[in-house]
Amino acid sequence: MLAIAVIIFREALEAALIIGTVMAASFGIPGRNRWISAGVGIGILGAFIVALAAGEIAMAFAGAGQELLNAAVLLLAVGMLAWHNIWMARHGAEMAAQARQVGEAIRIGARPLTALTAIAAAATLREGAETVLFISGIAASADETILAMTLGGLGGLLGGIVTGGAIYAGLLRIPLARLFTVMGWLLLLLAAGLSAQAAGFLIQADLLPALGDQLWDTSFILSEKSLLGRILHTLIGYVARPAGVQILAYVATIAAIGVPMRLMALLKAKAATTDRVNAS
Amino acid sequence: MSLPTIRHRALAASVLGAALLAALPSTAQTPPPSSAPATPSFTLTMRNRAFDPPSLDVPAGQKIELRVTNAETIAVEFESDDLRREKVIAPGLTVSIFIGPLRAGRYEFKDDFHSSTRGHLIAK
Repeated sequence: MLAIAVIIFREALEAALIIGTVMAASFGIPGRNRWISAGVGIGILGAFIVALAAGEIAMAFAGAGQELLNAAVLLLAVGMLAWHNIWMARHGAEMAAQARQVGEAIRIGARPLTALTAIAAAATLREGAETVLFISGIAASADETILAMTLGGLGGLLGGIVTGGAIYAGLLRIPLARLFTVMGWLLLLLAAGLSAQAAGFLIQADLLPALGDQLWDTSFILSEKSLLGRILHTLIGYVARPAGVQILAYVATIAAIGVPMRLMALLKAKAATTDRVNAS
Repeated sequence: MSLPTIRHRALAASVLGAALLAALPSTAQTPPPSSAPATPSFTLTMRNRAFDPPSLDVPAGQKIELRVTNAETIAVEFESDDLRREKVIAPGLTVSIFIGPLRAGRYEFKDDFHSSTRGHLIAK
């Protein structure tokens, strides 16, 4: 039972951390709960489909199907985080100003709510499919009673959700005035980490050269398999033993999202100054 | 809004494109030239909750292919912290996992779904 709980916890943790972070980053956006829940629902449905088709997926693309699917889902999340972040760099300050007026609805043009749905769906799908395969294997092998399986499964899931909730609550302690700026940078690192993970899958499928199998090893300081290591792995892309191309993917993603984020913020600051000059 | 939405969207789209391209720099040029030496391949079978063989000798310093067969009746997950690889394998399937180039040493792996099932490879 404990073994089941531990495995389910590990699978649920990454999804829960990503969803908790996205929830904090979208604090105060009306309707965000509905859009994120829809994403989790789509992800769970997708997880069952992927698990059912696991054999076909694995054999697709000359045996690289599973890695390509994992990389595609990760990169979809990266793209959506890029969209969300660049949009927020433009509108975050207005949102913070409005959110401070308690009870005031936030009204800003088109919001990237579909991005939130897609990020939640991507996070749930990947880990969910593995969970379905694991649980169905346990059920088929009859190693455990149904009660032990259910308790272990629910316990692990609950543990993941509690950790995600704790991250959410912790992030919301950041003062509102600064919340969206801090979350922008955190989501940037999250996206970079997901890119590096995607690169890892493409190395495994021999679609990318490793460019150095293991450039350094910091696992003696922080193992990637410890709880803190796993949390940092998801949130900021900590990898104890990175391959060269993973570092490239990490840095390239920071540049590709961070530069437009800065540009948007600068443009906005300039526009604000011009407005003030015109008004006086 | 001082910027037209269209331009804003186009920027977001181009950033997304750039991010994807950045993450996939060389897929277009991956097929190795035919003169390149073939990647050595090693087979590993998972059956009766064990790896066969439990210990595998492989060359260090070059990329190698592991051909892993799941001869169990349920899904397994080949996982190795040392090799930084993980792959779910449906029952009855044989899959490829590319690893290395490795430094000389011992690398543990296991079935993450049944973590008492363990094996290792020795690179030299």
